[in-house]
Amino acid sequence: MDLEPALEAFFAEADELLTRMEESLLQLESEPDNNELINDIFRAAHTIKGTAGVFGFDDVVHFTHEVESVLDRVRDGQMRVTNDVIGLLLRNKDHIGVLVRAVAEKRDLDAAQRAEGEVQTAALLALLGKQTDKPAASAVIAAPVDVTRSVPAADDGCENGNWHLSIRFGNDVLRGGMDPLSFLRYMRTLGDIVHLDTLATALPSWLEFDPESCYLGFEIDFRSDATKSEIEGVFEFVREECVLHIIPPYSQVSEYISVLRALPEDDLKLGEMLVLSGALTRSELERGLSLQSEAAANDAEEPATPQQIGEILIEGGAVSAGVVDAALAKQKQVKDTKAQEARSLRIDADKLDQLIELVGELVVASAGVQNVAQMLAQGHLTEASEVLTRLVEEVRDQALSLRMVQIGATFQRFQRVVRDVSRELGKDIELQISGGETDLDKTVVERIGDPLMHLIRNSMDHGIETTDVRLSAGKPARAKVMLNAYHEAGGVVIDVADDGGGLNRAKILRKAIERGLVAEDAQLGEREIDRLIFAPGFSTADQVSNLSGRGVGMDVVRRDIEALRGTVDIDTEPGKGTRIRIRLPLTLAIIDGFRVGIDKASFVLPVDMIVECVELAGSIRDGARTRGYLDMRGEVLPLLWLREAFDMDSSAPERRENVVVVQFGQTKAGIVVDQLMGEHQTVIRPLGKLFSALRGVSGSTILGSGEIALILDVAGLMKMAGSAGATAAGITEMQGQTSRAMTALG
Amino acid sequence: MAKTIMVVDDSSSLRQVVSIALKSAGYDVFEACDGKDALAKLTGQKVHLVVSDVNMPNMDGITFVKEMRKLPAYKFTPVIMLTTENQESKKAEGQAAGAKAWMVKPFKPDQMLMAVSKLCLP
Amino acid sequence: MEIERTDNGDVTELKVVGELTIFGAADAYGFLTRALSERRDLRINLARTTEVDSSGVQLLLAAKRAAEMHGHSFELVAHSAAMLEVMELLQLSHVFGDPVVMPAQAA
Repeated sequence: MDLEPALEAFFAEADELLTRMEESLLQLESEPDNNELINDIFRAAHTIKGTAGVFGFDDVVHFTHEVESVLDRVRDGQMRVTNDVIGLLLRNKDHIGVLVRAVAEKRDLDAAQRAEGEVQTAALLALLGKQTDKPAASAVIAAPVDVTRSVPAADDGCENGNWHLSIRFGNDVLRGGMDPLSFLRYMRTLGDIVHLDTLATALPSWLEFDPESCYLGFEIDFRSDATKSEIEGVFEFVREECVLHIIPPYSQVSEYISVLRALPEDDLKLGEMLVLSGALTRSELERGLSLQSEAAANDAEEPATPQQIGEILIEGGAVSAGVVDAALAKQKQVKDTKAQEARSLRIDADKLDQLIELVGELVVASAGVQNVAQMLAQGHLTEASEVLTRLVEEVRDQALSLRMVQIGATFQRFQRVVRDVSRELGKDIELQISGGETDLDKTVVERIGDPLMHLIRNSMDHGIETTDVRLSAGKPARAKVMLNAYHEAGGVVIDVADDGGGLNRAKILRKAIERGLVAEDAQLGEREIDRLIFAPGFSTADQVSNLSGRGVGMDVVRRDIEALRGTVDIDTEPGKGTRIRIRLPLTLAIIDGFRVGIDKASFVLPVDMIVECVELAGSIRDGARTRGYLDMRGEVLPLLWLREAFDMDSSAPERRENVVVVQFGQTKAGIVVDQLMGEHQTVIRPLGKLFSALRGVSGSTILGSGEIALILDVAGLMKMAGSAGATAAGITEMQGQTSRAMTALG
Repeated sequence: MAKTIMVVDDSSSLRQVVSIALKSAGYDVFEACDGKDALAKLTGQKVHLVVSDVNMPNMDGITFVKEMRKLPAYKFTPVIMLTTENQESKKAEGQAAGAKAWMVKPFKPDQMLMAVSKLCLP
Repeated sequence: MEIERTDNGDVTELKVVGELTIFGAADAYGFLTRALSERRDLRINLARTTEVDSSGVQLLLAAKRAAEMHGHSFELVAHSAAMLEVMELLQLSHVFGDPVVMPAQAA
């Protein structure tokens, strides 16, 4: 049987379960009494063990088994959840991951991994109070112990080469869905039923007869090469509810007699049956019965109650009522876990991308239809095309939403990082997460992890003071790093904040000058200084710690974020803390675009970023031309003439131009264009390598008419607007985050 | 006519393995991902055997069996509960709920087949 | 499971249609109780009995015993393949004592 297809599912599932296990473990640290969490963790380990076992991944099973045993004790309240236990379990979780990956990649563990596994196993066993050298408990169903009994020496074997089974089913087996017939049918797969007597002696009178109770018993002669435990195993599901005696071939006659004595029916009657069935000869029966009574007489002080007689392997009612009650009571305390509805479908990401691409084409095609409809100005056609456009828009939104995932899982990953790193640094730091339910494009989520990781590590390393410093500054010893996400203006904002010491501007400036990043006599505003940390080759760490020694600077963080068409701002207050604010587009694939024109060329701006459009004509136009900015209701709006930014040859229209006011972060700027051409759905096509150096353009799109339009990179353009308008006094301060210094440095 | 078995487990890979094994032995198999899902899928059709995990989100296996036993068509349907060896208290509760057959996880596909055959040959 | 009743002289024939299993055991018991109380000879027609389990077997055994206690006959006729399989497994033919028409090619 080919299990290959299920394997893939197992690896993916194990990954998911381990992630959940880690999340719950971290949460457990602050809520050690949360039963639901403990259950969650247990279930994760349990499922991995169970499934791994089915595939025969014994290493995973053995290790996870010990983890599960510890978790079981925790669950039962026999073991307290200390931070040490959680720490060990977290490492265990990692090791399970290592084991699963090794299996997936069909390789052995390396020496270090093996050693780690051994250390962890020892720690687990120590917790369980077991010896290390004891092999892990076998997960296989334990074979029942054969109870053999010494028999009188005078006894001898009988002639019968068959097994003899004597079985009486408990009253409730049928109600539990167990049909004795099915066991007998299965038994025939192990050998031949030579003779079978159906015993209906236990059947009560008709009126006392309960049709759903079982009253049947069987005496069976069975010819088989199966072992005793295999034969016994036939009845494993009812063995607590039936009386079963198994007599091996050529057994001593006394064994038969013992069984006869133990059974509820009349000895002689059963004995007759045995003789009739051929299990015993009549003389064997008689000899046996007399021997047995002699033994009983000699043993008068110790009466041979049926239970003491050998070969009684199984007795009904093995679980006492008291045990059941206790278990039930306990179960009531443990609330059922209500894990979140995890009804989802796994889809190959490539297929999804293909779908999105097709939807993109559909959007373009529908825009084409709309253009034609508008040209023809035919009522019905226009109407139909509008309906089509609306539907296509919905399809687009739905398709894009398929790619949307919550940022929460990414955030949760950092719990572990913060926990481990804070220990390493000897700082007491907690990570507060909010806005985990915020959705954004899967690609963005995947690519934001590294920058976030670096920002968090940076906060912990450089931002958070040592405990002594914090205490002497009157701050709580336990520092906070906060991760928050929310939707804003068609994008997503992620804040990474800490309540640490804030940026040391003097130190930053000194470093920047030292490294020749800024001129010695440069006059920089506070924000410009703050942004220096994003400059390439900048690092303030006095000591290169384990964490920041990775050679990744904040400039890489900035570039990663910009590559996602995002921006990063910094806001810091000495002594109070630092907040890094990342703004990201919701998706990378399609935007609602606003088309503008310069002469005959079209450009597209993301609608989300447009605040308003104003006409630029007459004297205001002349004034703006000379000053490079526009007075917008008392606010200074730096302007960028797109024609000039792109060195286009055509001349500006005579009478008027238009300004598109865009906002990015807290900064506004005006982009001056010839015409405004309205909203337009835009599928972003990346620019080829040839154009990757092109500034102010983030991609291209094909218009409904088949023409190509460039998509403007607002953030990039704003920087250009900043530097272009820098000649104008006062603008620099107004620009806020779009730092001229940054542009110069970048 | 092939016997029909429902496999209930929140682990999709485990369901797959069990299904593959059972189908290869000649059973008809359908799957459910938890107790709730399983109840929804029991619509009166003949099911010869149910194989169910104990520990599942949304509705655990024992609650599921309790609920299933309330449906006349499944009042006596045999159930194999999948469990770990350290779930003795669960087992007692489950047996009270009408789940008599228990099987220890992990198991090899062949062991599963053997257990199923004891209750219902293909 | 349904039971079709035909009265023919002193004999009441009960035809078990569908499965004679635990699922319908309570119903079948009710039906048989009424039939037994009428103190007539009973003939159980199993031609359309699709499945028989332990509960069905013991129900038939108990009914046979009850009928015979009152001096009435209780016979099984027209055994279906499902019933024959069970009778063969449990070696019951001598217990019920009814003539059984075995299929030509007994498995």
